[in-house]
Amino acid sequence: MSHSNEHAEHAAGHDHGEAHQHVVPLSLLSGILVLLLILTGLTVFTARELHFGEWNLVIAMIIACAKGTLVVLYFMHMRWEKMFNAIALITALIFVTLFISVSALDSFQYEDNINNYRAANPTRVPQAIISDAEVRAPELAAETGADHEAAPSTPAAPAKESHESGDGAAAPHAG
Amino acid sequence: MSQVELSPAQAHDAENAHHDHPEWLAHHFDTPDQQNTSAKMGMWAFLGTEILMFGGLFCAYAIWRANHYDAFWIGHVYLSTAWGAINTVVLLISSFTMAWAVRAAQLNQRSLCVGLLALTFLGGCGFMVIKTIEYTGKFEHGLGPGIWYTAPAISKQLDAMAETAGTASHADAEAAPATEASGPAAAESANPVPGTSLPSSAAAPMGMVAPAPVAPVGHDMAAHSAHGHGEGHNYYAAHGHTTEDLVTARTFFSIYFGMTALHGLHVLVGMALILWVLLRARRGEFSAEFNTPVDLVGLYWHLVDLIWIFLFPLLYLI
Repeated sequence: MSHSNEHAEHAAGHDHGEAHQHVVPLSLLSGILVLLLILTGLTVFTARELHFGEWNLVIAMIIACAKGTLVVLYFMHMRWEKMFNAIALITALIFVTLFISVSALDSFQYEDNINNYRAANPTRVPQAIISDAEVRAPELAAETGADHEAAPSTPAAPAKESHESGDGAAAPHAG
Repeated sequence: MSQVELSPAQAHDAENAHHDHPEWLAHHFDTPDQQNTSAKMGMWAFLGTEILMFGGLFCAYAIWRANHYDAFWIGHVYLSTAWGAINTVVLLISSFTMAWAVRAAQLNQRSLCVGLLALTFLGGCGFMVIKTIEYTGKFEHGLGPGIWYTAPAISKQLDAMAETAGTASHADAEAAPATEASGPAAAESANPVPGTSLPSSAAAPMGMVAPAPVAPVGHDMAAHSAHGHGEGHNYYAAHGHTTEDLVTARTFFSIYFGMTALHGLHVLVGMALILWVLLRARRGEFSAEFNTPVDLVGLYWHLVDLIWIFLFPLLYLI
């Protein structure tokens, strides 16, 4: 059965004017699936178990790009495709990158203004941008079984405190 | 079609059209190869526009994440990594069965092709079922997009309820510093049904993550008031979040729903297309010579998988 298939595959490629399609071997497809599943496990593991701060996003994106490349090259046959199709894909990717990069440039242009506004209105806007280490502090404290002294060290804590005490002041009037 | 309109130079006139090329080969193509190549080129151009469309959402994600990392950090806690990972695996496997179905179509393996397309369709169903479970959970807890984001209001309401209950049983609950002893004690006295009292081990983690000195009492009370409501403060407090945190996280859920809903729509469209080629494959319309529809639907389905490959780490694994 499999032999006759290979003949059919062979014939499809060389017959007069018939579609020149590359038939991907099943073993290759299975191998790609296994690789993709391993990479999925890896991305979950690195995100949940390893704490590299900012680098976690970089690692996750590298793994995602690797997975995406495998899907495009093998599942989507790009490896055996005409160059023109690859150009269509790469052009789209370049424009998305350009779009995000230029938008990011413009966005960070006003970062000082945003931070100044935050500083002037501490209770009205969320206290971003908090560094990764500071954000992770309460979670890490909870993991290590530390007491609740660790939590108020986050920058957002003063805002919360004023908010809660405001509620607390209102509650006795209501009750 | 009239005979006089055709010039003698034309290779195939209406008379011979049905003899010199197969039914599936359009008149304006010389060879099946040319037809297939053109179709694929058109498909890739379309996939390029799809990537550009999702690019807008990825751009919104990037800017908002850069400016409001805290919103993403708080919000992502409510997404289940397990469901996200299972959905990733489901889509990857369905992508594999799709690629295999294309191979089967190319090799004239008709029943295998139909079976694999059916498996791919089931994969899409599985993905949507899991997505529905996830969405339902979010809406139940007021974590929907836009006007459905009622989590801060629920949290505040339960805060206020807890506060009144606290002042009733413990007049000086706010004045007294929250100690490990006062929290559970206050909770115990306020609990109307002694049998349903939470074990102290359940109350302790909430006190541990409470940010303000007054919070442990309030959180413990809320945990008990949640017995009557089934949802609410107990849920958010268990994740270590206050009303303020939930106000912050609003943007994250808008982006989460925007991106996953557009992706989910693509899954549904992909499933419809798979069903369409499945029925055509069952009728035996595809062969080693002609299988372009299976190929193109496959490309679409892989793109859906490709986008999820990026959505999963960006939304679930912050």
